[in-house]
Formats: sequence, C-alpha cells, structure tokens
Amino acid sequence: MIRLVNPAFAFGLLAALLPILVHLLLRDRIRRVAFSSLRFLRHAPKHVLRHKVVSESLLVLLRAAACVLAALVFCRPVFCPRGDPSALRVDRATVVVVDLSGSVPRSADAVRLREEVTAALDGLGRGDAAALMVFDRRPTVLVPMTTDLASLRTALDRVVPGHGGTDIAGALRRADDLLRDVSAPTRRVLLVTDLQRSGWRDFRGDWRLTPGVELAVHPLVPAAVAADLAIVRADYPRSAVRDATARTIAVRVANLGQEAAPDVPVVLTVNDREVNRQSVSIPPHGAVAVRFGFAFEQAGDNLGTVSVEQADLCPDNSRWYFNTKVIPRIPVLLIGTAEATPQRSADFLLRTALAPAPESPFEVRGVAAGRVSAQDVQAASVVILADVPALAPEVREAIDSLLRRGGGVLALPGAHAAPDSFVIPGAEDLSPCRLRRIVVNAGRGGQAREMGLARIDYTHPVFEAFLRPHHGDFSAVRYTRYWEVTGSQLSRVLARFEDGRPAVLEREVAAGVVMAWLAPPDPTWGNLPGRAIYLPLLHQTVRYLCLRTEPAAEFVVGDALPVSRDETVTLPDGTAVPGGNVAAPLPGFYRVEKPGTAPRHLTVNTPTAEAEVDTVSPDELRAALVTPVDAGAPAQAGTAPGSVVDRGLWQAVLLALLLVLLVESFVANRALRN
Amino acid sequence: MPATRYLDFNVLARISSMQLLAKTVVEGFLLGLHRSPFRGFSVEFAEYRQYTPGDEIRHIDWKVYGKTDRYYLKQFEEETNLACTILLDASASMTYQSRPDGLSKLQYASSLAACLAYFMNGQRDATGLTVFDDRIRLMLPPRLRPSHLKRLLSELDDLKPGGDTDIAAPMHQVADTLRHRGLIILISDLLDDPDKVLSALQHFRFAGHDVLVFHVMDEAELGFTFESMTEFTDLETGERLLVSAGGMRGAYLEELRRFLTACEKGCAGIRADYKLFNTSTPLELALSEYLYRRSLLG
Repeated sequence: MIRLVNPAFAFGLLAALLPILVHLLLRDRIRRVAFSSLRFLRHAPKHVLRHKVVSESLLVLLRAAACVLAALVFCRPVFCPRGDPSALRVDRATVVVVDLSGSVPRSADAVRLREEVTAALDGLGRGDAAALMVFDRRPTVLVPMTTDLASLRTALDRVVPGHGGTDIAGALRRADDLLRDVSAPTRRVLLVTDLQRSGWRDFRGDWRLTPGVELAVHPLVPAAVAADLAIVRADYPRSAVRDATARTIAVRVANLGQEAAPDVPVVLTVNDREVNRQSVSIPPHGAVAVRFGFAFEQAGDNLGTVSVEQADLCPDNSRWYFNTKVIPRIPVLLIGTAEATPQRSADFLLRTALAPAPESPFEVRGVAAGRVSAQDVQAASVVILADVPALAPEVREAIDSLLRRGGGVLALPGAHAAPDSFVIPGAEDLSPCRLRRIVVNAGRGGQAREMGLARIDYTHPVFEAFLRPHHGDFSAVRYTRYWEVTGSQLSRVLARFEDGRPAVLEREVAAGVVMAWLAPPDPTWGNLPGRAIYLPLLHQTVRYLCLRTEPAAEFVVGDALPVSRDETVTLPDGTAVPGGNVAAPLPGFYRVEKPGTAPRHLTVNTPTAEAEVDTVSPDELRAALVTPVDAGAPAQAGTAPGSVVDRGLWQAVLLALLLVLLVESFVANRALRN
Repeated sequence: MPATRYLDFNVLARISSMQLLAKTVVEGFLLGLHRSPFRGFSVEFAEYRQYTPGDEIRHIDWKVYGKTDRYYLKQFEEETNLACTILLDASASMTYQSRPDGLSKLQYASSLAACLAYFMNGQRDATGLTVFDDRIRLMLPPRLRPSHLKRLLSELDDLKPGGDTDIAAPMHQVADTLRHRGLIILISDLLDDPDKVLSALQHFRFAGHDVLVFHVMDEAELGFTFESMTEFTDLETGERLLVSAGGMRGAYLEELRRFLTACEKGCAGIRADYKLFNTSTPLELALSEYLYRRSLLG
C-alpha cells in the first residue's frame, strides 16, 4: 500500500494542467500572409512541420509529467507493508544494538547474550517500534524498524558472539541513522555491550547522536573467573630459507584473571604435529613470553599454531595461527661482465661464496650482461649486478617489476662502471646513489693506503647477526679503492668507510630493496673476499634482499581477504565459499584454491585488542554522544508525527522528476534550433 | 558617390503626388550634389551652351545673361543625346508590402520611376515609360516636353496593379518598337523565369541599347522575417502553402540566394547593370546610378 506523508500537496497535481493551458493559450496561431511568390517556398522540407507538431506535443506531455512528479515529491509517497509503524502512531522508537565482538564470551555466551537482549526487548510493548542491530568491527541490521516486535525475538537466533574486533562508535552512528527517519516522542538507542575500552578508543569525537536521541546502556558484566589467559602478541618468521637454522616463534601470554595461573601448558604445533611444549606460570594481570625454536624443513606453507591449553571463556584468544613460508632455495641471478669467469674476479668470488656446496640455500645462475633477458630477471628473487656498465631497457623494466613484487637487487659497481652513472645503469629512480669517482687512497711513496669500515649500522637485519661478540669481525676488512657517490639522500647508509664516505647503501623501492656495496668483492679493491666474514655477510645480504616477495598472508577476523573471483576459499569450519568479497568470519587457517595453481593459505587470528579488559563507563559514552535537546527546536521536517518514512519511493520519484526535466531540456533545445 | 541627404521614407510615403515626390527627391539630390566635394559636372547648366556667333538670338536665355553677363543658349530636345525608356513591372506580385506603414514594391517602383523621369527630364534626356504585367498596359514613347513629363507622372499617380507576371514578352515587344538606341531601365521584382528575362534583356543589348536593371524586393522577401506557422498565399496565382516559417527559413534563403545570384550573373553576362533595391533603399541611390551610367555614355 502506498500512502502520502503530506497529502495536502496532492492539490499540486492540478499543476499538470498548467502546461496544457499555456500551450493552448500561447500556441502558434496560423498567420495568413499574402506573399509575392511561393517559388522559394516550394522546396521547403516537409518534415519540419511534422517535427514541430510532434515536438510541441511531446514538450507539453513532459512538462505536465514534471508538474505531476514535483507534486508527488512534495506529497512524499511511502510504501506501507504490514506491521509498518507508519500505519500506526508510535510512542517510542528503539534501536537495540548488540555487541558480538570476540571479547563478549568473557561476559556472556550465546544463551546468556540472548537472555540479556530478551530482557531489553521485554521493556518494549504496544506503541513501540524497534530495530535490531548487531556489531563487531562493522554493524549489521538484523531487523529494520518495525512495530512487529515478535520479528525481533525471532531474529535472536542470529545473535551469537563472534570473533571479531569492536567498534562501538560505528555501531551507534548506524543506529542513529536508523532513528533519523523516525519521528516519535521518544527515540533511543539501547546498547548491549561489554563496554570494552579498546572498542571505543578510536572515537575522535567528531559527531554526536541526533538531538533528542537517548542512549541507554545494558552492560554485559564479565564473569568472575579464576584465570583468563590470552595470547596478546606473537612473533614468528613469515618466511624462511630452508636450512638447518632453528627459527624463533615467540608469544606473549597474559593472565586477565584474578588469580595466578600455574603450570599453564603452551604448545607449538606445526603442520598438525606437536613439535614443542612448554609449561609457564603466569601471575594475575601479568604476562610471560614463551619462545620456541623450530627448524622448518618442509618447503612451502608451514601452518602452525601456538595454543594455551587451558580452558577459559574465550578460547579464540588463547590460540595463535601462523604460516611460515619456506623457500627451498633462493633463486639468485648474477649478472656479470663476462661469461667465462676467471678466478679471483668478482663474478667468481660471488658465485663461489653463494653456492659453496650443493646444499647451499641459493640457486645461482650467472649470465653475462650482454646476454641477460627479462625472463632471466623474472625467474629470480635477487639480482646481483656485478660491475655491470649497462643494461638493456627491458632488463631495467624487469628489475623494476622485481622490486615492485618485493624482490631485491645488490649492486656492486667496479672498474667497468662509469663516473656519473647510476649503480643500476640507466635507472635513476631505482638506484640508491650516483657514482662520482673512484677514490684511491694514496699513501706514502705512492702506494695505496688501505681503508677500513667504520660506523656499521648493527640495527639493520643484515648486520644484526654480527652484533654479538665473536659473530664476525669487520675490523680486518680493508679497501684500497672504492666509489665515491652523490645523490644518496633517499638512501640509508648501512656502513661507512673510515673517511666517512658511504660504503654500503640501501634504498627501498616499491616493495623491494636495492643495496649497493661501493667496493666490489674483488681482491684488487679490497680484502673482503679473503676474510671469514665475507661469506656470512653475503648470505645475510642475499637472504635479506629476497624475503619480500611473498604477499601478506596474516589477517584478523573481519578483514577482507585478498581472494579473486576465480578462487575458492575454504573456511576453518570446512565451508567453501567463492572468492571475491570475502570477510574473514572465524579465526584459523583459510585455504585458497584456484584451478591450475598450487593452493595457498591465509591465517586469521582474533584481534589482540579483544583481550583487553579495560572498560568504558556508560556515562562516558553518554557524555561524548548524547546531545541535549533544545526547547523549541523545530520538529523534524518532512514526516508526519509518529510515522516512519520510506525514503526509497520518494527518492525514486525525485529521480524520475530530474530525468523528465533533463529530457524536456533536450527536446526544447532541439525544437528551438529547428 | 557624392554625399547626399536621403529623404525619410516615412515622409515619402505621405507624398501622394508623384510630381511633388519626384521634385522633392530630385531637388534634394541636386542639393546634395552642390554641397558635395565631388563635383564631377554641373548638371544645372546641362541644358545650356555658350553663344557663338551665328546662333539664333531668340534662344538666348536672358536670365542667365543677367546673372552671368554671358550669353547662353537653351538646348532643345533635338540637341539631347539620350532617349531613356523606363520599363515598370506592375504585376500583382509587385503589390506586396510587408509593413502596413511602408511602401509596396509597386509604390516604391513607381516612385523610383517618377524620380528617374523627372531627373532625366531635367538632364534634357527624352524619357519614356512602359507599364506591363503579362502584357503592355501603357506605353509612352521617349519625349522631352514638359507636357509629356506631366502626363508620365500622372499615369504613375493613377497606376493600378495588374495580373500575372510575364516580363519577357512585353520587353521583346518594346525592343521591337524602339527605333533609336538609348538607355533601358527595367524596374521589376524579376519573379519570372530568369532565362526568359535575360533573353529579353539581351534583345535590347543586341539592338544597341544600354540596360539598367533595378531589382526591387521587399525586406521581408529578402530576410524572410516570419517565425510562426504561416499560410502564404501567392498574390498572382492564389495558391496557398502552410509552412513552419522558422523551421524552413534556411531553405528559403538558400533558394533566394540562388535566384539573386542567377539574376546578377545573368545581367553581368549580357553587360547589363544590375542593382538590388529593397523597398527601404533611398531613391537617391537610383538617381546616382542613372547619373553614373549617363556619364559613361558621354
């Protein structure tokens, strides 16, 4: 049934007669003229007359239609389905907003939550209209505004605590939108929540509830429990090279309860196999760090979990899911100056250092600069430019692509590089610096003076491993010559020569990294290749450069997952859904499959903020959001008292009016030109 | 062209007598010529020549002697060297006028003919008039007598519009009757077959006459200033046509342009002078055109 909110404007429908009247009164009267000769008129196009008649008729119709639509817009037609409050007068309009975030189970399970919501609904009766909305990071309207309160109770089956984060302000804003179309004497939002402060922290105070809207809070009180354990932080290797090195997986376990938690088992599982177990004791309101060491051997995805095996109210935050991608071997492309590499040349020394044995984690392929192709670069994770004076444009573009997908480049300019060139030849926007000149330190008697390294940045991942005592000595490294550079303002200096000039530079380009050693590993330039630190330094550098090519694979509940429409996603509960617009509903492992490609895995965890126990008071919410009502403030325009307006039909009528006016303008313009 | 002061057409339209109108226009034109720095000739003495021994004394103009102390003889008709024949189209199409307070084409053409006749008479040129529509309605041979001019102007005063247009046949007829070469001035709207009209004009050219065509059209005919739905009725045939005037103005003007171009080029091709006048063009311009033509003839 369609009802008019403002029936008084229906008289405006008579305005449709106006264009007809105007047309009749002002239409072209036929003028009769005695003319000297019709000889010049006989060739006039006949269709002009017909076109004029048609266009005039059409214009009259369009203008009459515009008048009718304009009158309807003012009348505000609405659909009134059964139970719609606009068919009745309502005294009170309420939006019940229920928190389903991951922290709620600490206060109420599904049954108790429904009981709490039912208790809130019990306060509504005849003369009330209500809507039901749930929220975690995003609000979802389960039941729009209605006087059929039974439908709200029916929808309670969908009120189940979830696993996502909390955004109280966002939910209240949406509730305010629902109430904006209602004009009842009393309008309010009834918020059922555990009042977790982390869900309120991001509110910037840039909006308030509509004046006249009340805010009632029904707090969910957390159960008093002995211990409530949660993993609040985790650190693990996102990717690794397959070698015998044990990687560290560390978590921080917090005790949110009132009592100490002794002998809490914390278990590391990798690829469905328990690999380590530790027992920790955690004081009340305290936290401990738990570290595991594990050597990943399986190439590809290694799905692991760290779980606190002690039952509590929120098992979701007692488990952490991770995925370590193991790269069996790092493909390295070594672009040198000559294919045949004489011994003691930089090419030879690099190749030997990177692949000293078949078990080397690096798969090195050497190609002369004149023969390297774009495909060679695409197949590599790291490209080493060993004293390359020039590169073909397609190779430069391939290097650019490598960097954009997170790969790395190690530039080693030597004797073949030219002054004023860039360390990546021809690529100013990729290079960390510009070569200026070769510095030869002359000593007494004309002999070259050796220069060492100073001011090494040990906070950098490449040099971090050498920080600890007996883990590498750079003091014995000496150089007889090196490149002086300019234009390194965008680069980070990782090491300097003793005279202060940069020795190692790093520049982040897109998702990748370009590093430059300003003295190649060549015996004619320095003694680095002969020092013990050369091999581990080179390995660390190449590892660092390669481990960016993998896309992000870890998310929290509620995040949109990066899956395309032609992929299928299997949720942790076994449900398969098509790709496209998928928001992670559960914590756990998600398997993404696409025909013709190997499956990949994504890990989703509960937001760590859900483990926070700090709460916000209802008074604080009201003070921040509720606007005092001014006496004498104008009534909400455009709605009948106690009615709900369906804007959809009105907007459709308005759109139709605009369309008619547009067509009328077009036809009138054409008629004028003719 | 010498600078002249043109008479307001609103004034002209109120002058009912052709003689008075012509006198007014011509004298105004001459006055302008006097004031003009471009004194190519002195028309007011065109009818005199200086006395030479042997001339008859009875022809001396004593008034001129009183003014100038010199003897001048009046020139008589036999001493003029030009016979001008005005061919005036008085068909029904010439009765069209777009403004109630303006002149119809026929009125304008009659005024034009009157002024030319008066002026030519003052120049001691014999002037004749032929009025036609689809046939000759009036024919006055070229003469240089005051009574002849008076009759000519009187006929123009009493001129009534005729019927259909057929320019060529009357012109051929006139061409056959003229014995002496002279100047032919055609005043018409030329709403006839251009080829036939040109053929008739060429007849005059073959006979050695000089031809001057004054093509008279109304402003509304030239600009087609109609906007709304209009039913046009042909003044000669009575045919009716309903058109959306605003919508087909472009087509009309294109047709008109072709017609005018044909007339102009056709006249140029037979070495006849062609001038397009609308009913608001000052009559003095016609007199200037005549004078220019006259000067070429010597």
